[in-house]
Amino acid sequence: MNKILEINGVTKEFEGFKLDNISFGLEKGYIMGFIGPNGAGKTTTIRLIMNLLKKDSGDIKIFGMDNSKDEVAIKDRIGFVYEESYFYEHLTVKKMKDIIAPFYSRWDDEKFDEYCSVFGLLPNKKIRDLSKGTKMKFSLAVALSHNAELLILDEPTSGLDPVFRDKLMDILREEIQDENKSILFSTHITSDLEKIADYITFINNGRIVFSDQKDVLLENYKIIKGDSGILTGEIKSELLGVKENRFGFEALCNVEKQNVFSQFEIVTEKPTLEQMMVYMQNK
Amino acid sequence: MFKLIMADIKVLGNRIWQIPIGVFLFIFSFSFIPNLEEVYKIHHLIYSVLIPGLLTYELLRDEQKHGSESVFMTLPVCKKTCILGRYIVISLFCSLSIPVIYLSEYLHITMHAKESIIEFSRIGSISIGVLLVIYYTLPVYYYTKKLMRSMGASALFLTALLIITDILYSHSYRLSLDNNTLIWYFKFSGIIASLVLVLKVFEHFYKNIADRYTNDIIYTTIIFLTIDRIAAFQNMLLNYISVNKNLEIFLKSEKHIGSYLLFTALSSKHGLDLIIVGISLLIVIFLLFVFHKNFNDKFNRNMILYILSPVILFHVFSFLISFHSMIFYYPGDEFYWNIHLLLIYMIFVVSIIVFIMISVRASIYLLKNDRRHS
Repeated sequence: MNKILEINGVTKEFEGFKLDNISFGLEKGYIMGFIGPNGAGKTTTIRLIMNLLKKDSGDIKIFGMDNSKDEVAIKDRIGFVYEESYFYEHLTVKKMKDIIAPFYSRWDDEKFDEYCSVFGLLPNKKIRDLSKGTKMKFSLAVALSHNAELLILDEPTSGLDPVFRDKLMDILREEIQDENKSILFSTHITSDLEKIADYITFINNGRIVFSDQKDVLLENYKIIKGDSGILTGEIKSELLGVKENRFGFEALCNVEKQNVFSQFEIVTEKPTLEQMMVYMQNK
Repeated sequence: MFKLIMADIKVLGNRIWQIPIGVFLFIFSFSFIPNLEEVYKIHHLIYSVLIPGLLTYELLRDEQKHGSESVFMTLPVCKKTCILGRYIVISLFCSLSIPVIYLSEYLHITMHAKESIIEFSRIGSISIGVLLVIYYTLPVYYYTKKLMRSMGASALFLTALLIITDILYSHSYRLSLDNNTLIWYFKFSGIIASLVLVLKVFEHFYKNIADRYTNDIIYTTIIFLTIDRIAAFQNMLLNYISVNKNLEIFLKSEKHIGSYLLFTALSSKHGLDLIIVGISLLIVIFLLFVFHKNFNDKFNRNMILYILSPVILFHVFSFLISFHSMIFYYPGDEFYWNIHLLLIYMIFVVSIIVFIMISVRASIYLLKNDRRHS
């Protein structure tokens, strides 16, 4: 195993929120989707990875180095995109690029210009005049233009239209083609992850619920639909989140536990990531 | 570091020369208005505060609005370098006022055929003011709301303490009671009354979190008493110096014997005070060390120390000068007097360096705890 990112037992406590002993890892050449409801701890985890917050305990290793001790060397190899645009609004795209570019040892101006033309970014346009989506495109262009080995994207698709989101997925897929790069992609829009993610990590209330290969996860769980009458207390305890209505029930179930329904008439479906997220949250 | 400085200059853009010129034109216009010439007399002070102040404000304004410092935090540069870069940039802003002061002075002399009004001592005193601005600007910029409340609790406590003890003292004079024990009794009563008052106020506004501030206030009390003791001892020293100055001593050896005897008398009479000052200084140095090492556990208390450090340093600085003056106070003895001046200069420089170090440390400390997520 060649892990590019390793998080072990990381804890961070704020007033009214605790990121509790979280651990997961990302291998080289893969895309990991980082999902969870609002306030689950996704952005805090990402900020801890980027050493923007000081962890209370635990270890974070990126490229085998400590994220705090080797901060400069690590950040030179990371492309990072914030959820919101934090650029200086009164500067133009070109001026902002001129400020950022000298900090990266492997900055590629040609690549930046290429992304600018792909994303339709005008170099002399002021950042305050860009739409939310275009600001995000600029952030992505910056993150992709210095040959980063690890891309950390915090909700990058939230302000983007479906056409550009699709284009972005293609770009990201292309980025990891050489198998030396990895992507940690935090998002609410799980349909994006279904297209490109290899691994899924689900965080809820500051705890990691699961972190596994996407296909394994989708194989291991099933959506079960049936009549509410069959839901005894014992059966309910085997289910991960149950939704009931006047037509029956719908629940997420581990395939290993599926045999409890063998004597009943039920319908099973392959779950989507969104369904998994919703049911696990209601667990 | 250079890249960061250049980045800040690029962020400011044309404002880096527009602001100094604008301030210059505005202030220089006062020299042509007869009734406002008095204002123009302090033009060097206005330039020294306005130019770096406005430039720093402009630099931080956009960041405050959009959180743009977050961009630098993700770049391959360590936080310490980020902060140090900022201090250098603000120092550069301060230095921009110097050519403006001299240009303004030159034009004033040429156009109005008047003598220069700039004195070195004034510029020296301004630079201390500017240093204090630098000292507070960045850490205050990185403050969190939680920390602001903690600072508010300490400030309210100190204000209440000063008012209450002042009222108690005024009553003691009316009653002709001013012995040492009574003064300490008043201080103690003042501390308890102020503590109760602040906790009641905080309980009223922030019902469930008042307990947290008790520790901060106790910590403020310790630092306040430290400052109080240093200041008291410094006053005693100054009194002894004035007594010694009035003695008719002419010989060098007599001067030293006189100073030595005075110091011995001082030490035996105020031994307890000396011990308190010594212990207080050790506590302050230890706390500064903790401040340097410990990030998470004593967040608020460290920031109280940061706020009160200039007062502590000022008193330590004055104490050391008074102490040294007591031994080498005769201006006639040139050699010793020069040593004295050199030592004052050295203490001054060391104090400024310590000021800046604490300020930098406070900023890094706040930045690492991320004000937006605390």
